[in-house]
Amino acid sequence: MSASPVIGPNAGGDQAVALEGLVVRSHPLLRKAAHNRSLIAGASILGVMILLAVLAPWIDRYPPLEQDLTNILALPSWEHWLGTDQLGRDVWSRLLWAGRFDLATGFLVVLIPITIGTIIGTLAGYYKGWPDTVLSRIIDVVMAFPYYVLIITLVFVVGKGIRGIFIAFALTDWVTYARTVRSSTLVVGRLGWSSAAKGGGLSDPRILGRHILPNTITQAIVYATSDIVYVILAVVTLGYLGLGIQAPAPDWGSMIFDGQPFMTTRWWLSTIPGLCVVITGIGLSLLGDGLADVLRPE
Amino acid sequence: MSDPALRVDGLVVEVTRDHERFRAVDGVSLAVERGRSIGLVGESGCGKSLTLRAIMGLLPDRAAAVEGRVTAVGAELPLAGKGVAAARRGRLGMIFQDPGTGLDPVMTCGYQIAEAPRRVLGMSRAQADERALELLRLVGIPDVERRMRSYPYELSGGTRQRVMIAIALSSEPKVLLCDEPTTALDVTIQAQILRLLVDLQEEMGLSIVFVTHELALVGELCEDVCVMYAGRLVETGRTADLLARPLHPYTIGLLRSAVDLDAEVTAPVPIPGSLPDPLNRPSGCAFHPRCFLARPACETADVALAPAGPGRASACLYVEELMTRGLGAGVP
Repeated sequence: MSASPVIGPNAGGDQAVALEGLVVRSHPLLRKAAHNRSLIAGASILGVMILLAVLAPWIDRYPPLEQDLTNILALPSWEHWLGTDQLGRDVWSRLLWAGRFDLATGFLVVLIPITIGTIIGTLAGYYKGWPDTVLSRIIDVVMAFPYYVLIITLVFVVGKGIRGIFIAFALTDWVTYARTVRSSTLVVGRLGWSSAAKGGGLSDPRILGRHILPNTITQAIVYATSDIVYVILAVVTLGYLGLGIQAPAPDWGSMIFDGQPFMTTRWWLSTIPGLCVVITGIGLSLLGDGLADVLRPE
Repeated sequence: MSDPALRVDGLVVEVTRDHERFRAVDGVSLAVERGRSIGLVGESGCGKSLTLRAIMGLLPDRAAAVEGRVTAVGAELPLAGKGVAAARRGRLGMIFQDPGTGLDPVMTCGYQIAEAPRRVLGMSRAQADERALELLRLVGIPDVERRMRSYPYELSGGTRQRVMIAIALSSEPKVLLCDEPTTALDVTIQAQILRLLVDLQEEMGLSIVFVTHELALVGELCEDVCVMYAGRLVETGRTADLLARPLHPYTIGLLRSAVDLDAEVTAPVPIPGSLPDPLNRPSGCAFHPRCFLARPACETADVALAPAGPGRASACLYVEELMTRGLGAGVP
């Protein structure tokens, strides 16, 4: 500490109050988010990953597909920060572009099931009756299958690549959202304010859209953060198995696979894409934990 | 006598439990005059809340109103089906027991109060907001401008209950159905909310149906009272008269089991036993296993609410004995 005079006993405090004031004036959710460490940590990690992915076209050093067969499996150097792979492609550039493909696929793939699942779950939980019973049995059946087996089988059937991934997840992944949203709709629908809204003569679309959904969607959003991890893992796994994003497009999974034969001499070829998957996973998990805390209704 | 604001005739509500159906509300009839209030009293589980919810058309899934007529402000209201909410619009409003779950946690109070005026009564946004401010002032909330923007978790239980009353009033009902609105509140707040309901009744000419398990509260608020036991009305009458001279052993039991701070001997006397299992209803008078007056005839006789003096009715076989011997008189 310097010996400079403190202006008033509460100088530091005032600053804190002023800062606090900025946050307090905003929405209560933002106020809670600003104090949630795991949310901030998760968002930062993920932010960096997304930033790198978005900026890939500007910060890559070589086109990710450009081969240089005279310079394969090069060691890291100023020209190739992470060396080159078995076809002489720059690993750093491929890593960035792979992140771009994998993250984009993860986020986009989740959008379809979250939409379908939330709509179906809300309607089933609100109107109940036999459609709800039928739906719940379908959900049970889909859930009874091992997740990966189902996805891999479907991708096999529908065809490899992005299209197959989208279809496979759209067909299977909505069940978790439907189940989560259905059960919270059931709970919320029994509360006094739901009855009050009905008793007040509000229309069903209004009750569902403005009251039920804002209270139940948080569950789906929180689950989505961990679901994106599953999806990215699945995309990477499919890539590793040759069913995912198709060569020569870069993908962390195929990079891990391609690097495997050179594990003893060029260990980073497989390890670094693997680390990228792990770091993304940690970021999303922290974000999910934080969101669950922040969005929990009081 | 003018048309009552709310009239219920022979209401029967069936509940399904463990694949068996039983009548949780069995032939309840009541009427509330314009600008008056009626109390519906009984132990938890006797069917008071179901009666209220059936009137409002908000029965839970396993319950259904199978018989009976509900008329309010000159129109018969459907008990179930599509037009349930529409028919009650502008006629009935309801407030619920638990202020903790009575308000939508993700919407501001102002939004929730202004919603019905805007969406149901077709006001503009500005008009609806103005109306919401008015209603907040009406239910006695200070600093209304700030409260409009408050989320429910920022409010105390009493304030929430006031906001819930404002929401119930926002669709401009003539009859307010209150489902134990004070049970979850502190005693001091209870008194304030009761006071508010009395004021609203007088100022707006509102009719009130007040469900509670505390007879004492009914004495504060309601002109008339109905005592309910195991799904049926067992006694009705003017509140002051009924409290002073109860004509059914169950009412006597309720009065004796309440703590009375004015009486000199204050030990409350509980009613022995508990409510019968609705799937195993006792024969004859359902109250006979717990009744201090029970005689063999009570186990077989068909009891029904019968007139017992001016403005009074009781379902006790020995009501005359109660009247002449004054068994109930002077119970604390």
